[in-house]
Amino acid sequence: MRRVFILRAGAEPETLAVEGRAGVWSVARGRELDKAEVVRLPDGRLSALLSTGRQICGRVVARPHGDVEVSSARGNFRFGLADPLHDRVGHAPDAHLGAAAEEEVRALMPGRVIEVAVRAGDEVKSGALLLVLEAMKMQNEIRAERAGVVADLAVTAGEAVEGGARLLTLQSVSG
Amino acid sequence: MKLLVANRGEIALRIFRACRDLGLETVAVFSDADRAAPHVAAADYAVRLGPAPARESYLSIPRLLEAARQTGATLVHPGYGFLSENAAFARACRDAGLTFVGPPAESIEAMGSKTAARLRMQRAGVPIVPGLVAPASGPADVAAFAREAGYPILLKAAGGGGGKGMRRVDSDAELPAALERVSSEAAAAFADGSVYAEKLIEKPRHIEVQVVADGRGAVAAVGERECSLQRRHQKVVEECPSPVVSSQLREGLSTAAISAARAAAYVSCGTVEFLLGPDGSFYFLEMNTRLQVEHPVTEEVWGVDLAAEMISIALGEPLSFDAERLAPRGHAIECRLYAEDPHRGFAPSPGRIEALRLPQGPGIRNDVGVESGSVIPIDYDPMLGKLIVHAADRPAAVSRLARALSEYEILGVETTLPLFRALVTDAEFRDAAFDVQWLDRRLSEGLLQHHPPSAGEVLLGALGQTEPAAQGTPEEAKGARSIWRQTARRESLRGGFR
Repeated sequence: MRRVFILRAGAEPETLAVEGRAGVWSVARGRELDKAEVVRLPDGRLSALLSTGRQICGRVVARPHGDVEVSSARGNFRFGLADPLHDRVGHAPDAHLGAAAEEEVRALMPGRVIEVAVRAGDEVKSGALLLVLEAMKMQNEIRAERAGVVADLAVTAGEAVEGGARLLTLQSVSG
Repeated sequence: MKLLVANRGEIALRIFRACRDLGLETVAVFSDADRAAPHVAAADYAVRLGPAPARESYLSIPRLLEAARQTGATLVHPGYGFLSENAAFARACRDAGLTFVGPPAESIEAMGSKTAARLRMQRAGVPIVPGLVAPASGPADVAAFAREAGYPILLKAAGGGGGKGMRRVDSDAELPAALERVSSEAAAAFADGSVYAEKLIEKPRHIEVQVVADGRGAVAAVGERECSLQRRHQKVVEECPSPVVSSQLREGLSTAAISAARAAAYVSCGTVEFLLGPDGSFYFLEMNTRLQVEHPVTEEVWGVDLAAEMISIALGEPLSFDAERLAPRGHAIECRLYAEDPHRGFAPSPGRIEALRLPQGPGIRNDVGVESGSVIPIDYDPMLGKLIVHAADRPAAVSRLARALSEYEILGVETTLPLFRALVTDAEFRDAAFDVQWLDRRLSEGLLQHHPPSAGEVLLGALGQTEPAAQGTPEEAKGARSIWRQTARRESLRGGFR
């Protein structure tokens, strides 16, 4: 069995090839090749034994958009690890450009809009306060992650919003 | 005898454990969001309070009293948060013939209004920070005070606590908007919009003294805690003892804390918070008339079971220890684990915990209110629990904390673990060279970095994604040939397992 992945963990995507069977695998990453013996532990984690004798243990969970999340002794790491087809779909150049021209600001969780600090048409700098959302008893200031023009203000102060609801759209200043 | 805990999460479990240690039966209460929560499953009896919103469940005094009546509970412990510093609740318990495991309603009232508490402390000879003695009537009021005391000043909600409803103001220009924000936050959170102002002591440390008072007039101070590591006035990491408090300073703090408790006719466990200036001067901040989140570090170092002590004091017992003979042993550090995403400005991260593995071994204590599979509801405070480590001295405790963090696994919700992992490698944290503003500053300087996965983690990810061989252990893959299965089959044919 052989599988190829596109790894997106650093600046540039890399190709990763996994080949093997029955717990013994060789993994090629660029020019580096390593052999690993792997077992699944009773609690679902994987333990890999490398040819150097090094042992590493962690849990691997598939995430949306071709990502995986790996927990290890150093913490949790989420990175892109999809087969080449799904990687291409997820990282199409068109989709990327669209996101750059316009950005939707959404509520991360259900809550109530306490304050709307901007009006439609306002030009805001990166870091400017857009809204204050109350959730889990905390007032969370939602700030612009980049400069832009406020378009399509979808909420008013006092309104309850669902998690994932669009609050407003930020358009590029040049756009 | 039954004790009802009017709370949820890790603190309900902590108090249930104290009850078991003392031979008391336990009563849990729960909202619709918490039927499957660990605190319910740990209790001998449980009563549904109502829907998820706290106002209709954990904050409903009539429903809590009814739950006590139904189950025959005679003791009520409020935990922290919710109704723990609500004098009306303490009084309602007393009027219903229940024993409130906490201070008398009058002591809660005496310390509940910060402005009144400051006046009381001033009269008792406890040093206080210069500030407005009455709640601000408007910006002009505060501006006049600021001209006298000098900026920066701090606006604080009179009914607030735990860092909620506080704001720094550096100039007259910022004042009106800040005042309005604090007032509206206070009105929403504490149903009291009054705000007072005080001079901001620059680069202070937050030091608090644990006091324990019985109903027979004995008041003891059980050392201090270092709580300077705060993010936006919310405690994140607490230590015992403070690395900067000498035994001489401890004596001064203890004397002031005991005076404060006596001035409030305090009974039960409580905490007197102080600001400690770089010059060693200290000022009364407020008194928390409840068991604190961070009580375990004191328990570990001073060997006093504060949760059990509260219960026995409520039952009329004297202090279980001789305050003169108490001595600190080693150093303890507590990390508060919140379901918050440190990489997104600590936004709450509700959801389902997919995997949870807690650290173990010498000097490790986990006070945790969730388990693998738990759903973190959006209705309550996002604290999951606390990791407490204890070792012979501070450097050993920091090393032990790093070790514990390497064993800690939690997946499914984002947590504050990355913050603690960053802290244990930070030189200034290791040197204990911090004040209450330090963490916010270090966070803005980039304390939290996105680390790329190591080669090993990438390899694990790839193997985890490669179906199906990595899905099973070699033993399982061999199936029926497994020695265990062969043995089981042989034994069952022989009738050996009957």
